[in-house]
Amino acid sequence: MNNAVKKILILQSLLLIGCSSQNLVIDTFIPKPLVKMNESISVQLTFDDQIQNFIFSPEELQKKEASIEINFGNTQQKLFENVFLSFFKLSNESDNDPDKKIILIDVKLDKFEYLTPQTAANQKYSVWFKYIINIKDNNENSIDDWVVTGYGEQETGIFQGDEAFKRAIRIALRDTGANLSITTQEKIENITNTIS
Amino acid sequence: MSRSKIKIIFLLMITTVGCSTTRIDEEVNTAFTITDDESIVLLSNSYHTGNQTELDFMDCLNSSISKKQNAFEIIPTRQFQNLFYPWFEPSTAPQSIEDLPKILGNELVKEKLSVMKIKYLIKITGETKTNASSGALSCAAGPGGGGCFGFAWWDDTSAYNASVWDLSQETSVGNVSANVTGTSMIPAIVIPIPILARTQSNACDGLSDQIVSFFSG
Repeated sequence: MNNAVKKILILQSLLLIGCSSQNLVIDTFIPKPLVKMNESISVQLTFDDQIQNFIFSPEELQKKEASIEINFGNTQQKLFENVFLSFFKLSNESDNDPDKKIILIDVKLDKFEYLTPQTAANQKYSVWFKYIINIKDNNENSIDDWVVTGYGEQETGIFQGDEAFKRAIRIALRDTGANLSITTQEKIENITNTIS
Repeated sequence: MSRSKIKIIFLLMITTVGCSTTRIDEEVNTAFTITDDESIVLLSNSYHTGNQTELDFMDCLNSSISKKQNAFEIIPTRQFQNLFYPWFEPSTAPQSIEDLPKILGNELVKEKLSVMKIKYLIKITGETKTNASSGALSCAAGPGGGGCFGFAWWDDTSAYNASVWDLSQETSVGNVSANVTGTSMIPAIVIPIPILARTQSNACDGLSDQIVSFFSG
Protein backbone atom coordinates (compact mmCIF):
# COMPACT_ATOMS: atom_id res chain seq x y z
CA MET A 1 0.00 0.00 0.00
CA ASN A 2 1.56 3.31 -0.96
CA ASN A 3 1.80 6.35 1.32
CA ALA A 4 -0.98 8.32 -0.38
CA VAL A 5 -3.49 5.51 0.08
CA LYS A 6 -2.43 5.17 3.74
CA LYS A 7 -2.96 8.92 4.30
CA ILE A 8 -6.42 8.79 2.72
CA LEU A 9 -7.42 5.82 4.86
CA ILE A 10 -6.23 7.51 8.08
CA LEU A 11 -8.00 10.76 7.14
CA GLN A 12 -11.19 8.89 6.28
CA SER A 13 -11.18 6.98 9.57
CA LEU A 14 -10.64 10.25 11.50
CA LEU A 15 -13.56 11.87 9.66
CA LEU A 16 -15.77 8.86 10.31
CA ILE A 17 -15.01 9.06 14.06
CA GLY A 18 -15.81 12.79 14.04
CA CYS A 19 -19.22 12.23 12.45
CA SER A 20 -20.25 9.19 14.45
CA SER A 21 -23.20 9.48 16.80
CA GLN A 22 -24.33 7.61 19.91
CA ASN A 23 -27.74 5.98 19.97
CA LEU A 24 -28.83 4.98 23.43
CA VAL A 25 -31.92 2.88 24.07
CA ILE A 26 -33.10 3.17 27.67
CA ASP A 27 -34.93 0.42 29.46
CA THR A 28 -35.05 0.22 33.21
CA PHE A 29 -36.54 -1.67 36.12
CA ILE A 30 -38.24 0.36 38.84
CA PRO A 31 -39.39 -1.75 41.81
CA LYS A 32 -42.97 -1.55 43.03
CA PRO A 33 -43.00 1.03 45.85
CA LEU A 34 -43.61 -0.16 49.40
CA VAL A 35 -46.59 2.15 50.03
CA LYS A 36 -50.18 1.85 51.13
CA MET A 37 -52.81 1.50 48.37
CA ASN A 38 -55.67 3.98 48.72
CA GLU A 39 -58.63 1.87 47.58
CA SER A 40 -61.15 4.73 47.71
CA ILE A 41 -59.48 6.89 45.04
CA SER A 42 -59.14 6.07 41.36
CA VAL A 43 -56.78 7.84 39.01
CA GLN A 44 -56.72 8.83 35.34
CA LEU A 45 -53.22 9.45 34.04
CA THR A 46 -52.28 11.62 31.08
CA PHE A 47 -48.76 12.15 29.74
CA ASP A 48 -47.27 14.66 27.34
CA ASP A 49 -45.52 13.54 24.14
CA GLN A 50 -42.09 13.81 25.75
CA ILE A 51 -43.02 11.02 28.13
CA GLN A 52 -44.66 8.59 25.72
CA ASN A 53 -42.03 7.09 23.43
CA PHE A 54 -39.69 10.06 23.82
CA ILE A 55 -36.59 10.26 21.64
CA PHE A 56 -34.17 12.92 22.80
CA SER A 57 -32.04 14.63 20.15
CA PRO A 58 -29.53 17.29 21.14
CA GLU A 59 -30.03 20.89 20.03
CA GLU A 60 -27.69 22.51 17.52
CA LEU A 61 -25.32 23.87 20.20
CA GLN A 62 -24.91 20.46 21.82
CA LYS A 63 -24.55 18.70 18.45
CA LYS A 64 -21.18 20.43 17.96
CA GLU A 65 -19.88 18.74 21.12
CA ALA A 66 -21.28 15.26 20.74
CA SER A 67 -24.19 13.81 18.84
CA ILE A 68 -26.25 11.66 21.13
CA GLU A 69 -29.74 10.36 20.45
CA ILE A 70 -31.52 8.82 23.43
CA ASN A 71 -34.56 6.63 22.90
CA PHE A 72 -36.53 6.45 26.14
CA GLY A 73 -39.33 4.34 24.66
CA ASN A 74 -42.13 4.16 27.21
CA THR A 75 -39.74 3.92 30.19
CA GLN A 76 -40.90 7.22 31.71
CA GLN A 77 -44.59 6.35 31.28
CA LYS A 78 -44.04 2.95 32.94
CA LEU A 79 -42.24 4.68 35.82
CA PHE A 80 -45.18 7.04 36.55
CA GLU A 81 -47.76 4.27 36.13
CA ASN A 82 -45.77 2.03 38.49
CA VAL A 83 -45.67 4.70 41.22
CA PHE A 84 -49.19 6.16 40.92
CA LEU A 85 -50.86 2.76 40.55
CA SER A 86 -49.22 1.70 43.81
CA PHE A 87 -51.12 4.48 45.57
CA PHE A 88 -54.39 4.60 43.60
CA LYS A 89 -56.53 2.27 41.51
CA LEU A 90 -56.64 2.92 37.78
CA SER A 91 -59.94 4.58 36.86
CA ASN A 92 -62.14 2.50 34.62
CA GLU A 93 -63.99 4.78 32.19
CA SER A 94 -66.97 2.40 31.97
CA ASP A 95 -67.42 2.69 35.73
CA ASN A 96 -70.12 5.35 36.22
CA ASP A 97 -70.46 5.18 39.98
CA PRO A 98 -71.15 8.84 40.97
CA ASP A 99 -69.80 8.32 44.51
CA LYS A 100 -66.45 7.12 43.28
CA LYS A 101 -63.61 9.58 43.90
CA ILE A 102 -61.51 10.16 40.81
CA ILE A 103 -58.43 12.30 40.42
CA LEU A 104 -56.78 13.31 37.15
CA ILE A 105 -53.00 13.41 37.05
CA ASP A 106 -51.21 15.10 34.19
CA VAL A 107 -47.45 14.59 33.88
CA LYS A 108 -45.13 16.78 31.78
CA LEU A 109 -41.40 16.52 31.27
CA ASP A 110 -40.07 20.01 31.92
CA LYS A 111 -36.30 19.43 31.67
CA PHE A 112 -33.89 16.69 30.77
CA GLU A 113 -30.25 17.70 31.15
CA TYR A 114 -26.96 15.88 31.26
CA LEU A 115 -23.23 16.41 31.54
CA THR A 116 -20.72 14.10 29.92
CA PRO A 117 -17.08 13.64 31.06
CA GLN A 118 -16.07 15.78 28.05
CA THR A 119 -18.38 18.69 28.87
CA ALA A 120 -17.79 18.62 32.65
CA ALA A 121 -14.06 17.79 32.48
CA ASN A 122 -14.39 15.00 35.04
CA GLN A 123 -14.80 11.23 34.98
CA LYS A 124 -18.56 10.92 35.32
CA TYR A 125 -21.92 11.30 33.62
CA SER A 126 -24.56 13.37 35.46
CA VAL A 127 -28.25 13.35 34.50
CA TRP A 128 -31.22 15.45 35.68
CA PHE A 129 -34.94 15.09 35.08
CA LYS A 130 -37.57 17.65 36.10
CA TYR A 131 -41.28 16.92 35.80
CA ILE A 132 -44.34 19.10 36.38
CA ILE A 133 -47.30 17.18 37.75
CA ASN A 134 -50.76 18.65 37.91
CA ILE A 135 -53.44 17.00 40.08
CA LYS A 136 -57.10 17.78 39.35
CA ASP A 137 -60.41 16.55 40.67
CA ASN A 138 -63.03 14.89 38.47
CA ASN A 139 -64.38 18.34 37.46
CA GLU A 140 -60.91 19.44 36.34
CA ASN A 141 -60.43 21.80 39.28
CA SER A 142 -56.78 21.99 40.20
CA ILE A 143 -55.95 20.36 43.55
CA ASP A 144 -52.17 20.60 43.56
CA ASP A 145 -49.09 21.16 41.38
CA TRP A 146 -45.90 19.27 42.08
CA VAL A 147 -42.38 19.61 40.80
CA VAL A 148 -40.55 16.28 40.95
CA THR A 149 -36.89 15.91 40.08
CA GLY A 150 -34.46 13.05 39.71
CA TYR A 151 -30.66 13.04 39.64
CA GLY A 152 -28.20 10.31 38.79
CA GLU A 153 -24.48 10.14 38.34
CA GLN A 154 -22.14 7.39 37.28
CA GLU A 155 -18.35 7.33 37.12
CA THR A 156 -17.05 6.00 33.79
CA GLY A 157 -14.67 3.66 35.73
CA ILE A 158 -14.98 0.07 34.62
CA PHE A 159 -17.88 0.64 32.19
CA GLN A 160 -17.40 0.19 28.47
CA GLY A 161 -18.83 2.47 25.76
CA ASP A 162 -22.16 4.07 26.61
CA GLU A 163 -22.85 1.90 29.66
CA ALA A 164 -21.91 4.58 32.23
CA PHE A 165 -24.24 7.11 30.54
CA LYS A 166 -27.09 4.57 30.44
CA ARG A 167 -26.54 3.76 34.12
CA ALA A 168 -26.61 7.46 35.05
CA ILE A 169 -29.97 7.81 33.20
CA ARG A 170 -31.35 4.70 34.93
CA ILE A 171 -30.23 5.99 38.35
CA ALA A 172 -31.85 9.38 37.65
CA LEU A 173 -35.14 7.69 36.61
CA ARG A 174 -35.07 5.51 39.73
CA ASP A 175 -34.40 8.63 41.82
CA THR A 176 -37.37 10.34 40.13
CA GLY A 177 -39.57 7.39 41.11
CA ALA A 178 -38.30 7.53 44.70
CA ASN A 179 -38.90 11.28 45.01
CA LEU A 180 -42.33 10.93 43.38
CA SER A 181 -43.31 8.17 45.82
CA ILE A 182 -42.21 10.25 48.82
CA THR A 183 -44.03 13.35 47.51
CA THR A 184 -47.23 11.38 46.88
CA GLN A 185 -47.01 9.81 50.34
CA GLU A 186 -46.63 13.25 51.95
CA LYS A 187 -49.42 14.89 49.92
CA ILE A 188 -51.96 12.07 49.84
CA GLU A 189 -53.79 13.33 52.92
CA ASN A 190 -54.22 16.75 51.32
CA ILE A 191 -55.60 15.13 48.13
CA THR A 192 -58.00 12.93 50.09
CA ASN A 193 -59.24 15.89 52.15
CA THR A 194 -59.71 18.10 49.09
CA ILE A 195 -61.76 15.64 47.06
CA SER A 196 -63.80 14.64 50.09
CA MET B 1 13.02 -13.24 23.52
CA SER B 2 12.45 -16.89 24.40
CA ARG B 3 9.06 -18.23 25.46
CA SER B 4 10.21 -18.99 29.00
CA LYS B 5 11.41 -15.39 29.45
CA ILE B 6 8.07 -14.05 28.22
CA LYS B 7 6.26 -16.38 30.65
CA ILE B 8 8.42 -15.19 33.58
CA ILE B 9 7.78 -11.52 32.74
CA PHE B 10 4.04 -12.17 32.38
CA LEU B 11 3.97 -14.03 35.70
CA LEU B 12 5.89 -11.18 37.35
CA MET B 13 3.37 -8.66 36.03
CA ILE B 14 0.46 -10.62 37.50
CA THR B 15 1.94 -11.61 40.84
CA THR B 16 3.98 -8.56 41.81
CA VAL B 17 2.02 -6.55 44.33
CA GLY B 18 3.08 -3.24 45.83
CA CYS B 19 3.45 -2.68 49.56
CA SER B 20 0.54 -1.36 51.58
CA THR B 21 -0.12 -0.54 55.25
CA THR B 22 -3.47 -1.34 56.84
CA ARG B 23 -4.90 0.23 60.00
CA ILE B 24 -8.16 -1.09 61.46
CA ASP B 25 -10.06 0.63 64.28
CA GLU B 26 -13.10 -0.52 66.20
CA GLU B 27 -15.36 1.28 68.64
CA VAL B 28 -18.27 -0.33 70.50
CA ASN B 29 -20.88 1.98 72.02
CA THR B 30 -23.44 -0.43 73.48
CA ALA B 31 -23.96 -4.15 73.98
CA PHE B 32 -25.59 -6.05 71.10
CA THR B 33 -26.35 -9.57 69.89
CA ILE B 34 -27.28 -11.26 66.62
CA THR B 35 -28.61 -14.76 65.98
CA ASP B 36 -28.25 -16.94 62.87
CA ASP B 37 -31.77 -16.21 61.63
CA GLU B 38 -31.29 -12.44 61.86
CA SER B 39 -29.89 -10.31 59.07
CA ILE B 40 -27.71 -7.31 58.46
CA VAL B 41 -27.62 -5.05 55.43
CA LEU B 42 -24.92 -2.75 54.09
CA LEU B 43 -25.80 0.65 52.67
CA SER B 44 -23.44 3.36 51.45
CA ASN B 45 -24.06 7.02 52.16
CA SER B 46 -25.44 8.98 49.24
CA TYR B 47 -23.45 10.76 46.53
CA HIS B 48 -25.96 13.56 47.13
CA THR B 49 -24.00 14.26 50.34
CA GLY B 50 -20.64 14.07 48.59
CA ASN B 51 -19.91 10.47 49.55
CA GLN B 52 -18.19 8.53 46.75
CA THR B 53 -18.07 4.94 48.02
CA GLU B 54 -17.50 2.83 44.93
CA LEU B 55 -20.10 0.26 43.78
CA ASP B 56 -17.44 -2.41 43.37
CA PHE B 57 -16.30 -1.84 46.97
CA MET B 58 -19.87 -2.41 48.19
CA ASP B 59 -20.11 -5.60 46.07
CA CYS B 60 -16.76 -6.79 47.45
CA LEU B 61 -17.83 -6.11 51.06
CA ASN B 62 -21.19 -7.88 50.60
CA SER B 63 -19.65 -11.02 49.13
CA SER B 64 -16.67 -11.02 51.49
CA ILE B 65 -18.82 -10.85 54.67
CA SER B 66 -21.16 -13.48 53.25
CA LYS B 67 -18.24 -15.88 52.63
CA LYS B 68 -16.49 -15.32 55.94
CA GLN B 69 -19.24 -16.29 58.36
CA ASN B 70 -22.52 -18.16 58.88
CA ALA B 71 -23.49 -16.61 62.22
CA PHE B 72 -26.01 -14.27 60.54
CA GLU B 73 -27.58 -13.53 57.17
CA ILE B 74 -26.49 -10.67 54.93
CA ILE B 75 -29.02 -9.24 52.48
CA PRO B 76 -27.34 -7.84 49.34
CA THR B 77 -27.63 -4.06 49.17
CA ARG B 78 -29.43 -3.90 45.79
CA GLN B 79 -31.96 -6.58 46.79
CA PHE B 80 -32.68 -4.68 50.04
CA GLN B 81 -33.15 -1.39 48.16
CA ASN B 82 -35.55 -3.05 45.70
CA LEU B 83 -37.62 -4.63 48.48
CA PHE B 84 -37.83 -1.36 50.42
CA TYR B 85 -38.10 1.00 47.43
CA PRO B 86 -38.25 4.05 47.73
CA TRP B 87 -37.15 4.35 51.37
CA PHE B 88 -33.45 3.46 51.16
CA GLU B 89 -32.49 5.09 47.83
CA PRO B 90 -29.46 7.45 47.72
CA SER B 91 -31.66 10.55 48.05
CA THR B 92 -34.16 9.15 50.56
CA ALA B 93 -32.18 6.81 52.87
CA PRO B 94 -31.30 8.02 56.37
CA GLN B 95 -27.87 9.65 56.24
CA SER B 96 -27.35 9.77 59.99
CA ILE B 97 -28.76 8.00 63.04
CA GLU B 98 -30.94 11.07 63.69
CA ASP B 99 -32.79 10.40 60.38
CA LEU B 100 -33.67 6.83 61.36
CA PRO B 101 -36.86 7.47 63.42
CA LYS B 102 -38.47 9.24 60.42
CA ILE B 103 -38.11 6.16 58.17
CA LEU B 104 -38.94 3.69 60.95
CA GLY B 105 -42.07 5.71 61.71
CA ASN B 106 -43.48 4.25 58.49
CA GLU B 107 -45.48 1.19 59.57
CA LEU B 108 -44.97 -0.68 56.27
CA VAL B 109 -41.19 -0.30 56.49
CA LYS B 110 -41.06 -1.26 60.16
CA GLU B 111 -43.26 -4.32 59.59
CA LYS B 112 -41.21 -5.55 56.64
CA LEU B 113 -37.93 -5.09 58.55
CA SER B 114 -39.42 -7.13 61.37
CA VAL B 115 -40.74 -9.89 59.07
CA MET B 116 -37.35 -10.16 57.34
CA LYS B 117 -35.58 -10.02 60.73
CA ILE B 118 -33.23 -7.27 59.58
CA LYS B 119 -31.60 -6.21 62.83
CA TYR B 120 -28.62 -4.07 61.85
CA LEU B 121 -28.01 -1.54 59.11
CA ILE B 122 -24.35 -0.84 58.41
CA LYS B 123 -23.68 2.55 56.82
CA ILE B 124 -20.52 2.63 54.75
CA THR B 125 -18.68 5.85 53.95
CA GLY B 126 -15.31 6.53 52.37
CA GLU B 127 -13.48 6.06 49.11
CA THR B 128 -10.14 5.33 47.46
CA LYS B 129 -8.10 8.37 46.47
CA THR B 130 -4.79 8.94 44.74
CA ASN B 131 -2.80 11.36 46.90
CA ALA B 132 0.37 11.95 44.94
CA SER B 133 1.95 10.76 41.76
CA SER B 134 5.28 11.34 40.11
CA GLY B 135 7.77 10.02 37.57
CA ALA B 136 7.62 9.72 33.83
CA LEU B 137 7.00 6.88 31.46
CA SER B 138 7.24 7.10 27.71
CA CYS B 139 6.47 4.52 25.11
CA ALA B 140 7.34 4.51 21.43
CA ALA B 141 6.68 2.20 18.52
CA GLY B 142 8.34 2.00 15.14
CA PRO B 143 8.53 -0.37 12.19
CA GLY B 144 11.18 -2.45 14.00
CA GLY B 145 9.17 -2.79 17.24
CA GLY B 146 8.35 -0.75 20.30
CA GLY B 147 8.99 -0.34 23.97
CA CYS B 148 8.67 1.80 27.07
CA PHE B 149 11.21 3.48 29.28
CA GLY B 150 10.88 5.28 32.57
CA PHE B 151 9.51 5.00 36.08
CA ALA B 152 6.14 6.18 37.45
CA TRP B 153 4.69 5.86 40.94
CA TRP B 154 1.66 6.98 42.90
CA ASP B 155 0.26 6.80 46.43
CA ASP B 156 -3.28 5.53 47.06
CA THR B 157 -5.30 5.76 50.26
CA SER B 158 -8.42 3.67 50.81
CA ALA B 159 -10.26 4.95 53.88
CA TYR B 160 -13.65 3.43 54.75
CA ASN B 161 -15.85 3.59 57.82
CA ALA B 162 -18.72 1.29 58.79
CA SER B 163 -21.23 2.57 61.31
CA VAL B 164 -23.46 -0.17 62.79
CA TRP B 165 -27.05 0.91 63.52
CA ASP B 166 -29.46 -1.17 65.58
CA LEU B 167 -32.80 -0.81 63.80
CA SER B 168 -34.90 -1.99 66.73
CA GLN B 169 -33.24 0.33 69.26
CA GLU B 170 -32.66 3.14 66.72
CA THR B 171 -29.12 3.64 68.04
CA SER B 172 -25.59 3.37 66.77
CA VAL B 173 -23.94 0.36 68.42
CA GLY B 174 -20.45 0.91 67.09
CA ASN B 175 -18.02 1.87 64.33
CA VAL B 176 -15.38 0.00 62.40
CA SER B 177 -12.88 1.66 60.09
CA ALA B 178 -10.16 0.54 57.72
CA ASN B 179 -7.41 2.80 56.44
CA VAL B 180 -5.04 1.36 53.84
CA THR B 181 -2.21 3.29 52.21
CA GLY B 182 0.03 1.96 49.51
CA THR B 183 2.45 2.92 46.79
CA SER B 184 2.10 1.55 43.29
CA MET B 185 4.85 1.81 40.68
CA ILE B 186 5.56 1.00 37.07
CA PRO B 187 9.23 0.55 36.19
CA ALA B 188 9.75 0.14 32.46
CA ILE B 189 12.80 -0.99 30.55
CA VAL B 190 11.29 -1.95 27.18
CA ILE B 191 8.41 -3.79 28.96
CA PRO B 192 6.49 -1.95 31.71
CA ILE B 193 6.01 -4.02 34.90
CA PRO B 194 3.13 -2.67 37.00
CA ILE B 195 3.61 -3.26 40.73
CA LEU B 196 0.23 -2.30 42.15
CA ALA B 197 -0.69 -1.77 45.78
CA ARG B 198 -4.23 -3.11 45.98
CA THR B 199 -5.40 -0.71 48.65
CA GLN B 200 -9.13 -0.99 47.89
CA SER B 201 -9.22 -4.79 47.97
CA ASN B 202 -7.07 -4.80 51.15
CA ALA B 203 -9.52 -2.32 52.73
CA CYS B 204 -12.44 -4.55 51.69
CA ASP B 205 -10.72 -7.56 53.22
CA GLY B 206 -9.77 -5.73 56.43
CA LEU B 207 -13.16 -4.10 56.92
CA SER B 208 -15.09 -7.32 56.25
CA ASP B 209 -12.86 -9.22 58.75
CA GLN B 210 -13.50 -6.53 61.33
CA ILE B 211 -17.28 -6.45 60.76
CA VAL B 212 -17.43 -10.26 61.12
CA SER B 213 -15.34 -10.14 64.31
CA PHE B 214 -17.47 -7.23 65.61
CA PHE B 215 -20.59 -9.41 65.45
CA SER B 216 -18.75 -12.49 66.74
CA GLY B 217 -18.22 -10.55 69.98
